[in-house]
Amino acid sequence: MTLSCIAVDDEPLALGLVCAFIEKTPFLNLVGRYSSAVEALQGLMTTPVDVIFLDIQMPDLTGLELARVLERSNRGAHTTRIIFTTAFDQFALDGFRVDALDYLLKPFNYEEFLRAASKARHYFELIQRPDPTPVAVQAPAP
Amino acid sequence: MAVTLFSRRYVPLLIHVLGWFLMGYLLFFYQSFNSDIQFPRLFWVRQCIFFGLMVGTFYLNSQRLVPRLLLQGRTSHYILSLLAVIIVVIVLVGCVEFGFDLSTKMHLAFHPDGKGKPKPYGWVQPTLFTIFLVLGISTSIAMLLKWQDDANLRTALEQAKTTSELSFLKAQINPHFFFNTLNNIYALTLIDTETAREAIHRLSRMMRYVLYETQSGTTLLSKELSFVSDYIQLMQLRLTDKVSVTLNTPSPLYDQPIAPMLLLPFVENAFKHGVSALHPSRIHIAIQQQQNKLLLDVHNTVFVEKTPSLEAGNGIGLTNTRRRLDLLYPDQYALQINEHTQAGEYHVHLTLDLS
Repeated sequence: MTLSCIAVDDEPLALGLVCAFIEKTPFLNLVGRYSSAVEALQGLMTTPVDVIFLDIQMPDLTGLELARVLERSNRGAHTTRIIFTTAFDQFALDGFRVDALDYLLKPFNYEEFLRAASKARHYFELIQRPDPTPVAVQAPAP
Repeated sequence: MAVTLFSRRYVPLLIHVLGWFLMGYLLFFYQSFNSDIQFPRLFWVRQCIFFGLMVGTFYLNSQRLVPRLLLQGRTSHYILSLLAVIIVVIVLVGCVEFGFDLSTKMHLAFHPDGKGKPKPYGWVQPTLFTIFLVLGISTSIAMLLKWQDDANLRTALEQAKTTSELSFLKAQINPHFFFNTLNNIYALTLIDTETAREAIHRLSRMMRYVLYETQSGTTLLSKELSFVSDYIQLMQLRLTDKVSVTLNTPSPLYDQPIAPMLLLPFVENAFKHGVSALHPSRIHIAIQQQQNKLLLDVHNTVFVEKTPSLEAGNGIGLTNTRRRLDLLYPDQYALQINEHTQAGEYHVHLTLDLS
């Protein structure tokens, strides 16, 4: 399965790095890159995505604020999950309060990135099978 | 040094000895030098006993009664104790006077011809006067010492407070600045190793400055300026082309000592509030020198909506910086902050006298 995703970061180099990591990952499909949360929000109106790699501290609109906006408009419709990317570990708690899928502390390497991305894939695989088929245990014939 | 300490420790003792010497002089010699009257021998015994009682009263009052009663706020207890002491002393002196029958003997000494009548209670008034004098001096000295101790303690506390406050306010750089910069350098290594190398060099210079230069109270203006310039260059790595940053420093520079990381908070503040992802913005920093004066001007674009941009919970805010200036350069600085100039900018102007 392939997950559509966008990356949001106000710092060009940081944004470039996340995008490079996304492009390197076969099951992730980068559909947009934004240098502000406001632009990302506009993009999301037209094309909803599965995963957002979202920086927290950004001018104008922070990642946490964007996450709260999405949480409100998310209900019932397409589920978008968020992976925060930030240098601020004290925001971890806030991150989990807005039900973030994972939390990447800058600077992070590809292995850490991949672990978070795999978590997202696992999550979407689970919700695609609402009633997982029970594993049939075959009793050995007497 | 050892000699001074030694003599200083014995100064109070010397004062006490001198004081008692003076009192003894008044009790024993003053009268006999001024007249050629032969005092009865028992009179000297009485003076000795009285002298001993005064010494006892003095130290009982200053060492026990004042610290344990008066200074503890138990004033009524203190006054009662003093009354008790006075009564005891009077009774004891009275016993001596009457036991030795001194009034008759003294009358004989002054009037060898036997004229007039001895005054059996003539001793009471001078004795009472002396007791009051001794108690008064004793209480005053005890209180004075207490006040002096309090004042010393207050000064020491004040000093300790200032030191700890300064070390708290001491220049610290926001750790997020380091992590975000490291992340950008991490990204740079994949695309532009030359710039990455340069950035690592800058960052290590800054870290060295923060770790070692801030340990001592002062640094050189040239070092502080190159620190600010490194900071700005590294911040520019993190910004888009929408932000234009300019820095003007004096050249040639006249190097002077300055407290480390005094200028950074103003620059940090400009980056904190003057950056938007949507609108173009401008940060202009100018540093000038006028003889011993340092002039810092920071202009940055302001955005109407609150902008918790690049670094929240920034290093040390402007309030702390003002406090630090108060402690380090009292009456030697002027700080003007104009939150909205006519050009729609935030303007900080600092004049600092470094002489």
